[in-house]
Amino acid sequence: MSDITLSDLQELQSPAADETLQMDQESFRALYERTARPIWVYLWRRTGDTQLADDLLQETYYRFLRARVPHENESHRRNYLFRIAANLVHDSHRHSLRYAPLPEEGEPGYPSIAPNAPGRDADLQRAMAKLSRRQRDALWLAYAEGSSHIEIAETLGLKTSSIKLILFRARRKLARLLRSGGKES
Amino acid sequence: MMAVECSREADLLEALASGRWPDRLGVDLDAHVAKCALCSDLGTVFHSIRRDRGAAMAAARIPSAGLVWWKAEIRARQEAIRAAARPINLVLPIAGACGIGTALGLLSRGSFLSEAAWISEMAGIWQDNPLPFYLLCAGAALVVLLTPVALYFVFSDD
Repeated sequence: MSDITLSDLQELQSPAADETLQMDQESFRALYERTARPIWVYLWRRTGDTQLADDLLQETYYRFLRARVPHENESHRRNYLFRIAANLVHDSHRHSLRYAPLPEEGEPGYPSIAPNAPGRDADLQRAMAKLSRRQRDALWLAYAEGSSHIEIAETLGLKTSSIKLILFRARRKLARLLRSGGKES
Repeated sequence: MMAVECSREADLLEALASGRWPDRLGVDLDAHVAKCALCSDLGTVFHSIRRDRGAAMAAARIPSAGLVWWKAEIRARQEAIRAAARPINLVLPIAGACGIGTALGLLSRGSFLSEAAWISEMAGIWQDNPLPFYLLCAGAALVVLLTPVALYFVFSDD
């Protein structure tokens, strides 16, 4: 975001400024109001960092706005946004150590997790951290967002037929971890 | 083969989505969940994730739509400017190299001679071996042609 000149800012006032984005500001605002909060929550839960969730949210909508992808309906738009977000989280995990799994009680770093932070279920977060990326995403989309198997497959770029098995294994493992307080048997 | 889905899953999901887990499932479904590991897992996981999501949604402080739009616009414009500048970045070194080549060629061919001697020297080259002369002319022509184009891109906004 560096190298912004005054003339750049002035040109933003002109109608030509949004020619490179795939919708106008009013349409964007309406879409954002409907979709941003669940996407931000997904990003927050997957990264554990509110600042990073803000950055990834910005990047998600930027990529959405720049993509020349025709959307059949609202559901398709929403799935596409989640797909971008999921890929960004994956990229962040690959390029950073900021999202290492939450440490166990007694391990270095445990007190800083702030299990009593607003809106945070530390047991669930710790248990989720022991699942694979695909399992976490599938569970979140299925049960937090209420996505169908077809929508999950579309979002994660997987075959629809594989979703049932991924969810089964993820449910079984997560339920076991939750019942045992996060300890793997 | 191990079953991965229970026939009562749809009923349970409906009960979960309507907030009837775990105490208000109804006698029939409650009895089923008690003996079905698949449904028990589903109930535990669904309930935990939904509760976590609900708390996170309530605590979420997301950036405003206006801010996100504004940042996207600035970035889109910056990228458009960068994309427009890309050909100039390619052309300028080529034009520069042509100019330097031309200058060096002229110097090596006796630009320190008098004008008349220089012209006669060039005429000699033309007759003996015209290829270097053609290259020099091509380089000079390229500089002459590309300089205004490059200047146009540099000083225009879009």
